Amino acid sequence: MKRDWSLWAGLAVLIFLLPLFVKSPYYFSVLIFIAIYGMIVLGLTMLMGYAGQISLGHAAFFGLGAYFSSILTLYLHLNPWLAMAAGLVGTIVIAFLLGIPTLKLHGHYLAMATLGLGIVLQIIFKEEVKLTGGPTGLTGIPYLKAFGISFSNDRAYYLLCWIFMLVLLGLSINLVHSRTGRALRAISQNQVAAGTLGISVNWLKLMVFALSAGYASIAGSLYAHYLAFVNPSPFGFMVSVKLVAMVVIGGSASLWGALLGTALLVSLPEFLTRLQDYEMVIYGAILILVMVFAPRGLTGIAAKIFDLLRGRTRGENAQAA
Amino acid sequence: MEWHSQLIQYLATGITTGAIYALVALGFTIIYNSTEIINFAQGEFVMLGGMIAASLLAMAGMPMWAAIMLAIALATLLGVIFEQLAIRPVKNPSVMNLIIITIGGSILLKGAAMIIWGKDDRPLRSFSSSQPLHIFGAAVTPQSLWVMAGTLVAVILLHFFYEYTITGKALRACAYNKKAARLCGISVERMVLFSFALSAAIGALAGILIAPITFTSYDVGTMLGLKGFCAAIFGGLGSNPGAVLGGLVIGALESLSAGYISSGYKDAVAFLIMLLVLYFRPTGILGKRSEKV
Amino acid sequence: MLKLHEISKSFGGVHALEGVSFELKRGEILGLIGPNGAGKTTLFNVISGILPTDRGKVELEGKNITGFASHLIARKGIFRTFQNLAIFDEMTVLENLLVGNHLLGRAGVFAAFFKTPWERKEEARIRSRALGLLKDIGLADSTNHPARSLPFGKLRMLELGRALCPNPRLLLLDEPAAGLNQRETEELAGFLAGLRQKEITMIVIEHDMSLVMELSDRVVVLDQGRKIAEGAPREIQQNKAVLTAYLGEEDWIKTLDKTHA
Repeated sequence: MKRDWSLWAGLAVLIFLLPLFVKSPYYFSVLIFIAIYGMIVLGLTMLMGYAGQISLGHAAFFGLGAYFSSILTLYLHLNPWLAMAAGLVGTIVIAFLLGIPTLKLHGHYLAMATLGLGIVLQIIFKEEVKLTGGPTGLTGIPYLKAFGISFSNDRAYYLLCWIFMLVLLGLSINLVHSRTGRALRAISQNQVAAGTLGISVNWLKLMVFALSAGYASIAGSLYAHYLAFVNPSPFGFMVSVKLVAMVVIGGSASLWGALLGTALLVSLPEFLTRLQDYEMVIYGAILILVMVFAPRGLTGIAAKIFDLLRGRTRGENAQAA
Repeated sequence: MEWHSQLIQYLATGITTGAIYALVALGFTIIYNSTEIINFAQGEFVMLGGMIAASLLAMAGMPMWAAIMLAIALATLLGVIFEQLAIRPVKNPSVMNLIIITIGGSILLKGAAMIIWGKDDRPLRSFSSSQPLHIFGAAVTPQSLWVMAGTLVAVILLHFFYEYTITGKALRACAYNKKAARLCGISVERMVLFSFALSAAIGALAGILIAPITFTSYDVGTMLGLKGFCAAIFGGLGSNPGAVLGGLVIGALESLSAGYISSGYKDAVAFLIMLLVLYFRPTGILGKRSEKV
Repeated sequence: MLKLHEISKSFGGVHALEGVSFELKRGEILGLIGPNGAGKTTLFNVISGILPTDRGKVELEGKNITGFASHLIARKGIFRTFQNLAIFDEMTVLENLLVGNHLLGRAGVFAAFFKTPWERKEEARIRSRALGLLKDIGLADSTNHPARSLPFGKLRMLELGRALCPNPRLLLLDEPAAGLNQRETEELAGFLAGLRQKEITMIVIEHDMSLVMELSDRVVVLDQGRKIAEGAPREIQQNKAVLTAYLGEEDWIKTLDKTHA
């Protein structure tokens, strides 16, 4: 736990120092997207990595947050912060309700159900034109304002998003190192045994599912207020897949893995702009290669290296026991 | 149009697409039966079938039948390569690992297709004429009949294969109990390879059959694969008749709802049906009850 | 304390349990024996809420707990071990015991999120109890080792320790000695005898007859889903029906001869 908080502090320092060295709005823009997707992936990591439940439809919750914020601020002229909060509550409630029948499923069936939900939700985004603006979407979404500052430039928005990220990360660190966090891990490793030890398996699965949807919703709201424009295309199956890829490549059982995976996969296309046509091929290849050679992702590799450096191997552990 | 002609029109379209979904679903079921893997890349083999056939046909002097055979053969080969490179090397795969690998495979194949063939739609010539026939007042293209006939033949051949050939029986043995099959001398690894090959072939056939109607392009695979999956779940993962039933039902319902209710939500139909099945009868209509969900 | 009444469970055509009834007094150790496939583990699964019973009732201290979900059963103080070991392999030894202490705390998600003082206090309590128990089961050396690095015998101890964490009213042990060598079995027997001193009520499924006979106050014998005998260990050893179930018709005569020789 101490290690996580030290890393958190280091990250916070980095975030605040960065603007002194970086000036180009382009880099801030990339960092903003890393924060936004990172929040979703953080929630998804808690769901997939810690509680062991797969979701192939999380982009839909991202979309719900974005649309809630957009619709409430555009049509009801609600204060954007209130809209974000309302969106958070709305998404959590929807996720909870959808989760009740869905989380009774396991493995492939759970994956397919979440996939189905995600696709249906995206179709609703596309079809309910009066509400969502259909495929063309909604424009003119107002900026977020606080303390008299309008978060309309990339530098300010970068700080805003990363502050949100730091807060969510802190909450997650607390959760993971708590009795509830352990219960989640127990559920993913042996659900039956967890139940016999008093863990309310169904309730916790629902709770972490709704929570991860909440994280995605906040990210969605921030996304909407950044681009000032939303349409259905960022909320589909492919994005859900990319989110899962970010979880897995970082290393699903680690919050830091979530950040690493996101940073890597969000910045990769930026580096490969010349190879843009090859983006899909590279993405697919990375997914396969990581799963075949490093199923525990980047943090798994880091952990192995760490162990090697410390001179500790599994054999030594067994001997000591 | 008379209401009954309209109904027949919708049903004809529905059964045509349904036949394709059935073939895709069969592809899923075949692999699932011998490996318990859901191959998310299945849809891409459908795409590859159509695309390769279209390219081959564009080559001068290539007769239709040769192009079809060759396209299926090449797609099958790709299926084999996919299994060898992406599935075989994985040790102790978890469900999540396998899902991600096959999704990765599907993205890779799609990306490769985009590089090779670009983003444009590719036309494929109809097998026979493109003049619609009039059946009970509904306009039905001959290609639709080719699709239905082709699917029927494939299903019958598959049935004979599973019932009467040694390899087919070996595949069924693997589906029931891998360890026991191994003890009987069946090489499970070879059966897995064979399943992927067979699946790819069936997928490619589906892609070739439907391409003249809907055109083919690098990204048709995704939706077809996903809807085929819905069909497989509807019928019961692991049940071949279920896959066929699921495909036809979903195709028909999709077409009917597009015609009578709303065409915008057409794509949602397959997934809503799948969700209903998963929530109320996860093992599917014809699936084995005892399967752990 | 525990009353089982006409517990029956079928899977398809197989009658795993058929009208099983017996009672258990507080502080008693009941041995549950029977040939393989007799339904012993199924009975445990019913009691611990993993499987629903088709018919019959389970009562704990007079209150009906039939069909309760397993976490509710745990809350009533009934804990168990598993025949095939249900250790959380990806956690450390200590963490397994911390999970065992799950019910010691009641702080929910929000308290966890904000690390409230209440949560901290509960966590400290959970931790100290787990560390204490770790010493009792003799695994203090392996506190932070991954559970899967432990040898089999110690894993059995770990699972036992985990089930003991929350001070169970009733402990269900499913073949605790299976796979243990002679020395480990003796250590286990010693440990269980110590538990008996603390008056913990237990039902123990075992195939190791000497362990069962030595430990149990009473024995219940199941065969093919039915209870075929119940009584003191000495009586059961000489019970005709029991010997037939285990050995087959002719052999029990030989065994009886041996015991009388």
